[in-house]
Amino acid sequence: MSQVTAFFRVEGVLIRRTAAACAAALALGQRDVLGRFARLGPLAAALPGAGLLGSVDAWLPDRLMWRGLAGCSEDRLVVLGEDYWTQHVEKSWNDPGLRLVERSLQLGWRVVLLSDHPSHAIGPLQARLGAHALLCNHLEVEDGEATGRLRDPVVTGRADGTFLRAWARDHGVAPGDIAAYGHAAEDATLLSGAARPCAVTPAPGLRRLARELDWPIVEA
Amino acid sequence: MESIATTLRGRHLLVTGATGFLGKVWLSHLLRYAPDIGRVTLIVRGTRKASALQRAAELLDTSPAFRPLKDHLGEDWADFLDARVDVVDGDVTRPRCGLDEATITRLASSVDLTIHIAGLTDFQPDPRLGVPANLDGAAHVADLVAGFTHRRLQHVSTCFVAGLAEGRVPERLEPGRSPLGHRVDVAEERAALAPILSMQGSADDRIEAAMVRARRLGWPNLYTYSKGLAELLLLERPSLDVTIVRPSVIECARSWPFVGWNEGLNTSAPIMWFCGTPFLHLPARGAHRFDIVPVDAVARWMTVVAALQLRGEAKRVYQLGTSDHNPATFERIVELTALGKRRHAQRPGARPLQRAISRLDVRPGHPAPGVPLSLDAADRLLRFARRLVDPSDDAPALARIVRTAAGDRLRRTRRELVKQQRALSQVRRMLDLYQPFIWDHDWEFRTDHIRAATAALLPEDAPFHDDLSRMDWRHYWMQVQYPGVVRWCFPILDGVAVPEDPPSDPPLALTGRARLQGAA
Repeated sequence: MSQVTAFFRVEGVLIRRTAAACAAALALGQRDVLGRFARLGPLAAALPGAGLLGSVDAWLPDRLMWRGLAGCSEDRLVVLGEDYWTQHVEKSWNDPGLRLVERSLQLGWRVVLLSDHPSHAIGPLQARLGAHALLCNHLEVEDGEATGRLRDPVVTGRADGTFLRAWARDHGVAPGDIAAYGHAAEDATLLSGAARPCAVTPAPGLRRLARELDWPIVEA
Repeated sequence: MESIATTLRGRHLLVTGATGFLGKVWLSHLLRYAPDIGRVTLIVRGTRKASALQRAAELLDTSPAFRPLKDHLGEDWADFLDARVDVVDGDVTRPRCGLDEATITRLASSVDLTIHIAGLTDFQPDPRLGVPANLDGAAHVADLVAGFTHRRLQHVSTCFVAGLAEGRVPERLEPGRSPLGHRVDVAEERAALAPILSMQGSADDRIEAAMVRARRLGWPNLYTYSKGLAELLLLERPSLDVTIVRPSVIECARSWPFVGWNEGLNTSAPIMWFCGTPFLHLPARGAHRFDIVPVDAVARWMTVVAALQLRGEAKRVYQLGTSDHNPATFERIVELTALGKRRHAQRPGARPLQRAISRLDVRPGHPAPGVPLSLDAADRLLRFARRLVDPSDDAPALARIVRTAAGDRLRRTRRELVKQQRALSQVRRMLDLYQPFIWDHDWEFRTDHIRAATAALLPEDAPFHDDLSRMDWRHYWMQVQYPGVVRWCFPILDGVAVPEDPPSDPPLALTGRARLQGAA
């Protein structure tokens, strides 16, 4: 008998921060004062057109978003990531989501966190929540410098369903034992792949869908 | 093969410079991990206010360097120290270290090894102070040891005696040769310095005169010049069994006495302070190595070398650094300092201006004219402002009108501008002193000897083992060095005293019991 596995989308469910905010914070923490704003360029290009770009390639907006960090030293990435964790992540917990993680652990479920934040900024989350796995993005670093690219596989809300299925298959989780918690409209792919979907303090798009499909909704 | 603690058991060490930054860390670590040492005799200079014994007792009792030893020993602290530490009133700048005949006779047959740490580490001291402390001091210690039964001497120098001979610096010393290969007769050199030391006038005049000699031989400042000559002088004493230990830039402790411990203004502190100013360009070459070594690593390795000397297995020279096996570049250190500054400014209570400045990251590079917020630009700005508020009679009419209209109201502004110009010239002076090390030259100090020595240590020697080959510079700089310098060094730059530990109750008193036990 397989163990129930609960997949939690981090952004919106557990923390009230988006990966785009993290990308902006890291870009603005770069060395050159003027260069900081130039580094926001790829992010600015990715955000407004995320829906369109995402419809062409689900991973494209995420790949584009971090391009502005090309040339950033690994030292800076790590330090800014740590600072982002203490100054932003740890101050933006979403309590309903945290309670769901706690309850899942109490029920003996396996907890898997899905985040499109980079590991530099979100790495401590797994230990902090006592989760079994954290699937997040990893910025590619070569010779001590970020290339601006994400290492494969890229985690994105638009394709979390793929992750969920692959992880469940690799870990022998029966389809009926999958629970998933999402917040944004794009988390619909994640929730639709789970036998026990749940919308947590959902954004309007997901709220509409959850009502249509009769998914449980957890409010603040 | 025996352990280091076993080698040191019952031995008698004579030490100069135990009251300095390195000396204290070394002594406290030695006493903690080689508690069966027979005796450590410290040569300490007495003052008008306190005898050498009182001064040493107060220092051991209140220096944070001894905090973990004190904690470890608890109530036995005073008894333990009194039984092992002996103090003699002396001064390395005086012949035979200013010791009286009876003391010398007493030490001569008893001392197993002399460790000479004392020295003046200012880059550009008045030669009247630097030469007696670093060059004459070594000569006086050598004279003293020459009369001992055991003529073993560990001389603490610096890697930077390599002077202008940059590149790969081997662990060797060529007798009678300067870094540039010129023949050096130390006695002649000392004789030539005599009239410079007795020159009347300002210290700057004496410094300039001595620097002519230093540069000619290939040393970029008076510190490396005097230490370099001291090494050559010791090689001219074949009767001595001399081992030279050359640390590079000694900085905050990684673990002993505790994380971040530092004292005084060492090499990095002024550079790190500069990185905290609004100047965006530090004139340093990013690709050059900045050889830094934590003070506790140096302390551990000095004890390893001491044990090897006592066993008769020591090499002539040990360089203690990181540039050959785990180098950090200025580019990296400056960036980590900028990140440390930024993080420090985020702490609660930091002023908004400090936070804003912390977002301006300094970069290594030559400050080209016209670069915003370079020293040159700041200088021009200050001069312009001075001309505006304090115009000469031939200044443009507008400036004179402003002065007349403002009258005394500009007095405070004038004073502030003068103050800022003075601060700027001090920064320039500091950067000039640092230029050979951060811009002109790039050294790779070989450290094969100490790495081979520590690789051969026994498991029970673990307290003396330190391997910096895998030291994470980011962790060291962010968690150790930056907070350590902020805590222990920056206050000094602001003219604020760094607090010491409270004395024991009752305060530690050294009674000379160690001496009596040794005699018995």
